[in-house]
Amino acid sequence: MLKTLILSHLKIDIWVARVLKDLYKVMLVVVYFAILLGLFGSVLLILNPSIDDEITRAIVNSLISKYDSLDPSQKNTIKFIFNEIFIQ
Amino acid sequence: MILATLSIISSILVFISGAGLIPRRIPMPFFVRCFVGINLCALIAIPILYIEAKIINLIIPIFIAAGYISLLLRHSHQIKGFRISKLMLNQAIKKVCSLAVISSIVGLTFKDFFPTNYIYSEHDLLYWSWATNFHAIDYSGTIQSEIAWPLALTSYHLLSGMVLGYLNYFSPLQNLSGIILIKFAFITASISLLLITLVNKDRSKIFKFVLSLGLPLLLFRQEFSYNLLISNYLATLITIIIFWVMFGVKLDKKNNLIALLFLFMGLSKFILLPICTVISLFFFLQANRQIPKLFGLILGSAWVFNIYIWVAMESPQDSASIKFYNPYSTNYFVQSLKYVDWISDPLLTNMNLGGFRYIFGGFILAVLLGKIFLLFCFMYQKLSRNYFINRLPYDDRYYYLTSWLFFMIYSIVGYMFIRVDYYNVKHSAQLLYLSSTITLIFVFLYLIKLNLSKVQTLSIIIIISIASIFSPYKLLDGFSVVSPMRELGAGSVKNPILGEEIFQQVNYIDTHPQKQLKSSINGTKLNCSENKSDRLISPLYLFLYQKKGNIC
Repeated sequence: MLKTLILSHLKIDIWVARVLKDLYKVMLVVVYFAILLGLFGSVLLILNPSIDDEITRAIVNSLISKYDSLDPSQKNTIKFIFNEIFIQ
Repeated sequence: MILATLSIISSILVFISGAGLIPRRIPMPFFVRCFVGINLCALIAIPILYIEAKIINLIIPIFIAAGYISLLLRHSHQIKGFRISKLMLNQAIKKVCSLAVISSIVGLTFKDFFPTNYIYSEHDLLYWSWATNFHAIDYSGTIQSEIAWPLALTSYHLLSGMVLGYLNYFSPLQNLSGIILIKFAFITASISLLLITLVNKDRSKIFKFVLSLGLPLLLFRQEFSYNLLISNYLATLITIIIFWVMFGVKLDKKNNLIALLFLFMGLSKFILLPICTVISLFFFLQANRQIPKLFGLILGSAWVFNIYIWVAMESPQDSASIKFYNPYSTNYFVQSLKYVDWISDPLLTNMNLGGFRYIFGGFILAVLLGKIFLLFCFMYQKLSRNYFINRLPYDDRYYYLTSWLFFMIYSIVGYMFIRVDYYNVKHSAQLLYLSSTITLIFVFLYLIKLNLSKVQTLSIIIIISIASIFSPYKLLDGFSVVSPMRELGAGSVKNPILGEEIFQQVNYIDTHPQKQLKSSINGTKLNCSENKSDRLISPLYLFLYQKKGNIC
């Protein structure tokens, strides 16, 4: 009874309806933000891998294991390229 | 197979008894009444397992007997007027036939969950092994699971195991296979019974119905499989039943029932407790008719005792306390990428990406979030617009839809900020799996409820099919449509013959988890191992209902 009285006077029902109707837009913004967060995290990691020790270690380890699995000739090629670019 | 049949029959009898314990003043279909009754009994039984496990053997038979006595008293006049000829009516025969056809299809869909096809892994010990053979409890104090040792049992999702243990109480299969069989039967029967109502409504639209269900299932079938594989199965079933009650059942006053279902859903999974409790309270307040006082008191006490156990439990490690990510932390973005260990497992574990999995993970997460949440937003907008044009704003369906909107907002915010602590892993990833079920049902509702033109239907089919291809999961990797994402690897076993001690395993030397699984499947007792290596092989990551220091 009281609820109906309040609702009819203050038109809360229409207000609530409007808020709820547009609530999905708020959610949409949060979703876009979360998607960007995932993408941004990846980009950040590519740009600056030292940002997280554990993950950097995992990336470095994977690079080392990939290098170890190569043939000696391929290893020499990589060494040569590395030498050309960074040392000489 | 005789054992399996007897087991299913006994569980059906226990299931029906649940209906007698729910007051008639709360209107609900008979199947849901049984379901609610069983959940309530399981909730009451859980604190008893914590306080004095032995009493469970007194409580369960009393509940079952009380349920049947109440049912007999309620339906005595119907029983007196019962004639077998009524059963032979054409309509009744048709219903039984269509139920048989639908349950066979659903059963085949989930056939990899059947105990002889199922691949048992150590996680099953945690979820289900303690729920077997309650009759053998001959000690005082809290429940112990010697088979699961040194794995330990969590207190935060006991309801999903207890429901199966309760249904399996009189079964001749008092072992892990028995519990998996009951889970398979429970899932199959629940989904079949809900589908049969939809099919019977309008048989001319059966093609549309199959299409509307098939497409979203194709899109989310891996998430759906994962949900049914672990303790999420109960929350998933409750979600499906809530949707069915909301949009498929013709009942005048269903807010109390919806509130009850949300309450059980909150207690089935720790991460769901906050949001489901809020939604449940909202529907209780919205209900025009109050629930009976005695029933409310029992329900409230069960809720309080269950929460008390969650809080009072002495955990050997910080296994499941909710913590929050700090967005101001410098490694917040990178930490959030650790989600990939949970979410995109099928793709990332099959490709040997090493450390690069975290870099790929961010992009895969973006696809996954879009698939679940953007699709949900689109469907929500279309459905709400269709439902509420020229309607009163206080139409109940308005609240039904918005309750799920709140749930999804909680999920996406939880994904960003909530971390349930255990080795820094975000258990809130489970929220995304459950959210995908909600999106699945929203897509189904959208396709089935709205009268789309042929062009619109075709466009939706194309969009969803393309989205399925771009899914971060492998498609069609199992034999059945819905397959558990497990492979027969080290530490897991397969029991190809029900009730026989014959197993399939990859390595010929038994690892400790394999020994545990075999014991649990056979229903035998495992001697405690003091080997350090056994402790290492079976990581202690959850905790058991035992006093500290008394592990085995």
